[in-house]
Amino acid sequence: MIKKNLFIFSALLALIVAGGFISLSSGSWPISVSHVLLIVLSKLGLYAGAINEVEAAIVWDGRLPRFLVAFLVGFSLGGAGTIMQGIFKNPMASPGVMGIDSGAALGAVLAIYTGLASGTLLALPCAAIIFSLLTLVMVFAIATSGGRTSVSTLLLAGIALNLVFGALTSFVITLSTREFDVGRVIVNWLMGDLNNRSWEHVSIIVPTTLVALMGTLFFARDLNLLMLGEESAANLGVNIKRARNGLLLFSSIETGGAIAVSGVIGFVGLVAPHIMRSLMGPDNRTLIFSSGLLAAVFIIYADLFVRLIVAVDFKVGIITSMLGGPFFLYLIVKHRKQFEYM
Amino acid sequence: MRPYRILSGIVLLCCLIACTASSYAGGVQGVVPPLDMEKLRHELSLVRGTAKAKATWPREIRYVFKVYDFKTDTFRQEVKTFTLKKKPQRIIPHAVGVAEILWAICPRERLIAFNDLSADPDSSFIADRVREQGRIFKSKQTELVIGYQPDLVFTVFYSSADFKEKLKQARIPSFDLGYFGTIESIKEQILLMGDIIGEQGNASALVRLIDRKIRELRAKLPPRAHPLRVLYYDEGGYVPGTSSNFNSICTIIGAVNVGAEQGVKSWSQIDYETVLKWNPDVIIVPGRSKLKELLLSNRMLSHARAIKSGSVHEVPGVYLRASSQYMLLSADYLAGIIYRQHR
Repeated sequence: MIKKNLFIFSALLALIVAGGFISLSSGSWPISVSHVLLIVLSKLGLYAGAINEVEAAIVWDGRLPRFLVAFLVGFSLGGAGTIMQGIFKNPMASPGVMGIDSGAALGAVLAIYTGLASGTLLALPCAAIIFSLLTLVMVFAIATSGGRTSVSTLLLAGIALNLVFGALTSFVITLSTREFDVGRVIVNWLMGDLNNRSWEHVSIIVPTTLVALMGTLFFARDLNLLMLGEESAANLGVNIKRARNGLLLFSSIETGGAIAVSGVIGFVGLVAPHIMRSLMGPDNRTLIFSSGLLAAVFIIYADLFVRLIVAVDFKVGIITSMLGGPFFLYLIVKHRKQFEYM
Repeated sequence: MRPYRILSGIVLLCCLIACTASSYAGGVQGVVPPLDMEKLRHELSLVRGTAKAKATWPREIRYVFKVYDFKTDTFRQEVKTFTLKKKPQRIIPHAVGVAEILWAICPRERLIAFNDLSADPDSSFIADRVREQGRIFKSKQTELVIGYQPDLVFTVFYSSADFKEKLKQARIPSFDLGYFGTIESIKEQILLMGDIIGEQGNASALVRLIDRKIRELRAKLPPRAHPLRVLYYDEGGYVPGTSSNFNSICTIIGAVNVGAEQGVKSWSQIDYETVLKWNPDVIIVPGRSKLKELLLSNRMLSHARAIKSGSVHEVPGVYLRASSQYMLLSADYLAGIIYRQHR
């Protein structure tokens, strides 16, 4: 089992490294792989020779942040999906079920519509993160009664808020159609887009990913036990309330951070944990990493596909949904009997 | 000491007045267009010519309906026929460009209502006058439009199908206008509209005025060995191509629309790397968008020619969206911006 897991991790890392090389050396401005390597080495202080300043700017300030954002968004969404599926003991669960996606989307759409987003790069991500956390607070406030939080009520509250935020987002989109260019930006953002990502975006998602990863790992053992059922977990010494709330908070931070820098990218948070669970088993301590890496692979290659093959007017979110949706249907049909145990 | 202070105050006040006056003389602060903007705007807003022959009613008009298919990036056209029983006296335009053209060629009392965008200064050159005129409807308020009892509604190819259908059900005559994204297509539409409303003389006079003003504008442009390459970078990284009104504006002032030069047809989204690769001489961004700050602060773009030379300019949306005779104002404004720095 360990050998198999090591092989899977190695394969995923190899795919990411390969994707990184392709990302850095491909684009509308032709730059050779050797130049890319020299630029990276030079920026890291390991090469003192002359480099082309324009090429260096393209690689270091354009392509590298875009690749890192793709990686971190995938890693965050994969990790958040693993937590959600573990807590709800449901392979259909994803960050979207709690309404976090749509809350973040509403925040971002409002930032674009009010013009805040065009003023500073930070406005849109901040609005998305604030609204995703507000959503979490609202869901918990609705589902908590007498100090106890019901999982099924959490789920139902999430679905209800999804609908409300979806309607409000649609309302803002309707208002924005009056200003064609603003409407176009909103629609692009809702489709998930990694165009023109910079180091500022990396600096937004790095802390959310790191904080959420550390928090999640802290509760990873508890998540394993929660999957046995709340009573069993409590008997084994798990503080159910603390573990569940902590895990939901960290998955919300991960989701909010990812959506903040990339827009809404669907299905990876749903599909990646599902695939990795079938390959590596249910241990969440490894699953969080492997799902994150697989989701990162999805997004890195989807972005490469958008950039290098279809080039314009196609978004990463469309690719992930177009591939992830049918693949997920295939999994459902193939494993429908196994779902009964959940 | 006291007289010195008073004198300084008077000098300061005079400077302030002079600065304010000079900024208004050009029509727009900080921009020195080749043609007098206010005069040009005034001339393009009311044109009266002499009719060649008295129009007879009822009449049948054969015309070419040309539309741009954004799905295939191609033009589609067909010959159509339109029948009018009598000379329309209660006309409603359903688009800004149409309203602006009618404002110039049609007696104003025959224009009974306008859509809300025609009253929006960010979209319309006649917004102030439209608001004074009253009767403004939102684009989807079909019931209100029907209630005004027009005898002709000018719709455009992108007006919603349900709006057109409701007019049809209410038996209100409507005329669907095709593409008017270039100055040539606008001139065709002016002549067609003049024919429909029975104001052919005014329409022909407006077309002649446009041609004359284009010649005057071009004569005032500074000679250049190579045309300036101008990129219009819109929100979300969209750039316009050959079929856009921006392309037409660039053509009028002898500049190259970089989007069209690079093969973009209608609109296409590009990233910063592509902006750097295309390396335009001038970048135009919509006013009030704060895109200028974003472009100027981007590290990758710091190597782009336009950024290095400080040639990133904001242009108010109304100039970028012009789809009528006022496209000449846009051309004048843009020429004032791009040739000022690159003389």
